[in-house]
Amino acid sequence: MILLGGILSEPPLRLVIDRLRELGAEIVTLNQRRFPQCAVRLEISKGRVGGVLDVEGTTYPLAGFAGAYLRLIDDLELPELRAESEDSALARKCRGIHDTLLRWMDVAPGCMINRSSPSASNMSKPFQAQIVRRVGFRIPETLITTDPDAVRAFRAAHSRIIYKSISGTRSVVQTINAEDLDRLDDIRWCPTQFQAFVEGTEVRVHVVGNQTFAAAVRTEATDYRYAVQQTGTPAELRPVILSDELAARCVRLNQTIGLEISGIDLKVTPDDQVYCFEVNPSPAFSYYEQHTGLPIAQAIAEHLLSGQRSV
Amino acid sequence: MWVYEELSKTVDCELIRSSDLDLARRWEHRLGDRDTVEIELEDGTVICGSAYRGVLNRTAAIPACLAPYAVEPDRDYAMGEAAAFAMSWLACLPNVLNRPTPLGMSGAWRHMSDWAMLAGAAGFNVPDYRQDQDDWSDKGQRALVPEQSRRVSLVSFGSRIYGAPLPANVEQACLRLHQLAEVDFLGVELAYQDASDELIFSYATPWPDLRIGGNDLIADLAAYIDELPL
Repeated sequence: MILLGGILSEPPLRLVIDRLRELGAEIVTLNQRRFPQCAVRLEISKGRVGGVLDVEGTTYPLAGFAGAYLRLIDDLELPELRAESEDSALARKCRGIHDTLLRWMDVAPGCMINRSSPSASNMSKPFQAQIVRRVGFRIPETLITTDPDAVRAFRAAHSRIIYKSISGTRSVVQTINAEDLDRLDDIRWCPTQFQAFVEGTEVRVHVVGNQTFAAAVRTEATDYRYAVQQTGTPAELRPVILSDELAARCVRLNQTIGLEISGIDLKVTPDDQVYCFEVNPSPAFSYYEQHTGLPIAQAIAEHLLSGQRSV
Repeated sequence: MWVYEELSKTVDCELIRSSDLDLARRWEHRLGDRDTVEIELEDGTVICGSAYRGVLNRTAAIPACLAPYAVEPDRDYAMGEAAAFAMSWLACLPNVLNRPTPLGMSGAWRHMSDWAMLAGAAGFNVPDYRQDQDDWSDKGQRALVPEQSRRVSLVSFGSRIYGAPLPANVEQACLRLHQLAEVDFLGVELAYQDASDELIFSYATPWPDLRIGGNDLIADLAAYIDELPL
């Protein structure tokens, strides 16, 4: 039995549900917006993980789930809680269901996509970069500072520099320009991350267990996710085959962080150096699958059915 | 503070408080060919990461820089940035004891459900753990035994347990838990089961009261530092 949870219409979750159904898998779907009709109890006794999950009137033993794929949004963002205070009974119950499910995933055997503890490495990009480098990838020259003069010197040393958030909060990667330089004194208030721009081809690699699915991205934008806004033209994606060594390195990175699946952002330079920018533990892979035909959802479905944890 | 006072009798060391860092004038942290961190404190003192042989990391609060003073719409973002920044520069200091992790600035602050599993794997007798949607909120850091239980507090560092003599099997379980917890200093609390002499697992923390280790811990810490490369 496989547990799938989140906003059920969200494309990545929808694709995996569809593939599992095609495979004839026994699945349980947990609609995050219907949490008032759910309950969960986690039990750990003598090293065994048990408990039960009630979903809209049906009770399932947690030990019966060989795998789970949860793409939960922040429960405070659920429309059902919009009118509630953070400590209302409904909000607390909702938080309790989420917390208990995440705790269960952290300790349960089986294929849990993804456990919350390893996913947290993404909350600090430069911290994660230090792990990335240990696995053998290059990382861009990075400066995080509150000193405008240090940024000016960094910019003088590199032909082009970008800035982006340090934390896991999504930010639009921007090339620093004259207007930014005029407001550089603002960084005295908050350390800000700058990186040397790396020329090359963007490659997004999705790792699922021991498999890799790579897509090359063609764009003139600094941040291809915002290619239309930055250049007026959408990014073009095409599937590519990684060398065996690079594929193995991506799998090793995924495992080193402790993930079952991830989306790894690489850039391959004209002289074949491979830079890694980020490992996303909750990749919205559907965008890449739809543009390239790469069977990522199928691989996730099969990985869940294997019931095996790869880390 | 106690470790600093005792250790500084024999070892050249400095104490840097989180509150000193909050008001630092300048931060400069680089990753690349060389990882560096340089902090200029309010009094003009410059802290250069590479100048230290090792670091005992007891960071509890995030050095927030000026993020708490950000205007309301930006405050959460600024605090997140400050936390992410601290994780990175702390991690790249040389020979850090209790390195920052995504689960805590000075080692992983694990949820009690996680400790229960690790302690079982280490060989401890562990009380049952139970959590549901109604009683979850205080379970994460609460000991697994009732407050009135008779308890023993221990610290492990290296391959040694400090605090109280233990039966061999319990000492082995402590050392295995230390390895599984992936921290340099681990605090372990055990409790006597009912009226018997059997010790069961109660609680663990990466932020133990190091005074439990006494002079033996200070001596071993000084010897460890002495072995670090110059």
